[in-house]
Amino acid sequence: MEAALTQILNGLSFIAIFSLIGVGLAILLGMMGVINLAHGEFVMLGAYGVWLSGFVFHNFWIGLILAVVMVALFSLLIERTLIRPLYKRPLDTILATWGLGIVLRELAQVVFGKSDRMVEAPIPGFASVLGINYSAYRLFVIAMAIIVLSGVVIFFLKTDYGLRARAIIFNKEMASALGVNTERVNQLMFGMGAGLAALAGGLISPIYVDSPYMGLQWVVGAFFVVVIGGVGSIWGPIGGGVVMGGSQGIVEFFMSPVVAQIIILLVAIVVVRLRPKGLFAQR
Amino acid sequence: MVGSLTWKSKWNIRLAVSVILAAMAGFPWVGGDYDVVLVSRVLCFAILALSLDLLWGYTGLLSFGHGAFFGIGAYSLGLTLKYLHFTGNAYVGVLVGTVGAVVIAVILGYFLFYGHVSGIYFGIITLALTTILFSIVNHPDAFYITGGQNGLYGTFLKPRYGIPGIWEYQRTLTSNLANYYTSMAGFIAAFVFCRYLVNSSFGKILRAIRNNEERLEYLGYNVANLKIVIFAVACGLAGFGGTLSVPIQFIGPTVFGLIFSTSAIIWVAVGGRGTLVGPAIGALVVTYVESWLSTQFSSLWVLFMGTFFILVIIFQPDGIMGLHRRAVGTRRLTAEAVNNSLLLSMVQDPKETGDVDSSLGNEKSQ
Repeated sequence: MEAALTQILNGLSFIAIFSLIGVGLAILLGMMGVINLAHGEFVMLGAYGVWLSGFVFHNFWIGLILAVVMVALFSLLIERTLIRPLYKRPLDTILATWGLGIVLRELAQVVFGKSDRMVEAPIPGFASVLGINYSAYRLFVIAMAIIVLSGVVIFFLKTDYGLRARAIIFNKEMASALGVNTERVNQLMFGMGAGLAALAGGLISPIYVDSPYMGLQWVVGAFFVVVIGGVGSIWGPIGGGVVMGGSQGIVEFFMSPVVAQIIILLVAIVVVRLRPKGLFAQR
Repeated sequence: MVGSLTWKSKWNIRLAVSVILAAMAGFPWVGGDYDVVLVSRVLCFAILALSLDLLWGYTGLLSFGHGAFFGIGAYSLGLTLKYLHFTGNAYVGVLVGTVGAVVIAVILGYFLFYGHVSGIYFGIITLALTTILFSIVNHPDAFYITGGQNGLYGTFLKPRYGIPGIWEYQRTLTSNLANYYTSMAGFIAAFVFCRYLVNSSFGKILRAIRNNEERLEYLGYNVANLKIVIFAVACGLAGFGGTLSVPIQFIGPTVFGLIFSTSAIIWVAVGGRGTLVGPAIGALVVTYVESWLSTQFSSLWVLFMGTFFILVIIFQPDGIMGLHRRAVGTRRLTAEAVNNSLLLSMVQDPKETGDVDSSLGNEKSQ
C-alpha cells in the first residue's frame, strides 16, 4: 500500500513535469504549426540556469525565476531570428530548431562541461502524506505545476490574450482578418512555452542529474504527450501528460526504464493508430 | 525533361557518368589508405542518404531516426558473423539485415500511416525508435550479445563465402580494396535502383504524396499503403547500407545515436533534397569536412555542423544541387514542394498548394 502510494506520487510528479513541457510544445504546434525541436534544450537551459545561479546568488528561487525569464527572453530572440524567417516553410522550422538543439547542446557541453551536475533541493527532507514519508520537494513540484497549469488554463480561457490565442488555433486566417495581431500573439506564446519548459527544467534540476543531453529524453516524452493528447485545446497536452506521466510512473515501478521506454513508445503508436487526433481531441 | 535533351547534352551526361564511374573505380589505386577507407564509408553513408531522400525528399516523410535502420542492418550482419559460422553467412547476414529492416518498417508503418500520422509525429516516433534501440544495445543484460559500448568491431570471425559443400573459402574483412569495391558496387546498385524507382510511375506517385496527399486520396489511391511501401523500401535500403558498412566502420551503439541520424539528415539537406545525386555529394562533402574538423577541433565539430546545418536550412534549402540548378537554370520543385506538403498536413484546412499534375509534368529526376 505504502509503495503504491509512493508510486502514485511519483507518477504525479512525472505528470506535472510532462504537462509543463508538453503545453508549450502543443501551443506552438497548434497555433503556429511550428514544431520546436529545441524545446527540450529550453528545459536543459532552465536546469543549468538554476545550477549556475546557485553559485552566484546561493539561492534556488532567484535562480529559478531568472532561468525562466532568461530562457523566455532568449526564445523571443530565437523566434525573431529563426522561426519568423521560416514561417512560410514549417518543415524547415523543424530542421532549423533541430539544428538549434544541436548547437545548444554542444554549447552547453563547452560552457558547462560534459559531466552531470546536481542541484541541491531547496526544500530538504520529507513530508508525511497519508501516513507515508515522501520527498517534500517533489510534493512542492506537484503543487507548483498544478498552480502554474491552472494559471495557464485561466489565461487561455478567461483573458483577452487567451481568447486571441484560441482564435488563432481555431482559424488563423479568420483571426487575422478580424484584427488579431497574430505575430504578436504567436511571439508571446512562444515565449510562454519556452518559459514553461525552463520552469520544468528548473524544477527537475534537483531531482535528476543535469546534463547537456537531458533535454532530449524530455522532449521525446513531451512529444508523446502531444501525440497522445492532441493539439487544438489546452486540455490536450495536460491530458496527454496525465497518461504519459502516469504510465511512466506505473511501468517504471514494475520494470526497468528501458522496458518502460518501449512500452510507452508502443502505447503512443497504438494511440496514434486508434485516435489519430489524440485521445483528448474534440470530436 | 530527358526527352527534350539534345543529342549533345545526352552525350555530355554519358561522358560525365563514365568519368565519375572511372574515377570511383580508379580511386583506391590513387588515394591513400585513410582516404580509401573513408570513401568506402562514405559510399555506405550515401546509401543511407539516398534512402532517407526517397522518404524525405521525394515522399515528404522526414524521419529523425533513419539511422536506426542502418544500425539494424549493421547489427544483423555483425551478429550473424559473430555467432553463425556456416558457409555463406555473410550473404545471409546481408539478407537478414535488409529484410529485418523492411519487416520492422512495415509493422511500424502500418500503425503510423493508417493512423494518419503526419509529418512531425512520424519523425518523432522514428526518433524514439532509435533511442530505444540505443538503450537496448547498450543495456547491461545485452552486453554479452552486443558488446555494449564496445560494439561489434573486431569481435566476429572470418566470414565464410562460397557454396556450402561445393566450394568454400574464408577471408578476412580487412582488405581495404575488397571493402571499397563491395561498397562501391552496393552504392551503384542502390543508386540505379533509386533512379529507376523515382522515374517509374511509382516515383511519380511518391512526389504526388509529397505535393498533395489529399488529392491523391481523392483520386482513389490508398496513400497509407503507398507510404508503407516506400517506408519499407527506404528502410530496407538503409539496412542494406548498414550491412555493407560492417567491415569498414565501428559497429557500436553510436549507429543508433542521435548524432548519426542527424548526420544523415544533414547529408541530404546539404546535398539537396529531392535529387539523387545530392545526398551522395552531401554525404561525401560533409563526411570529409567532419573528419577534417574533428582532427582540428576534437569534439567541437558537432557544434560547427549544427550551425552550418541551420545556415543551410535558412539560406540554401535546396543544398548543393540547388546551387548547381541555379547555375544551370533548370526549374524544379524540391524543398519548396516538400514544404507545401507539410503545410498541408499541418494546417487544418487543406489549401490549394502544390499542383500534382503540373509538378508531375515538370519534374524528372536525375
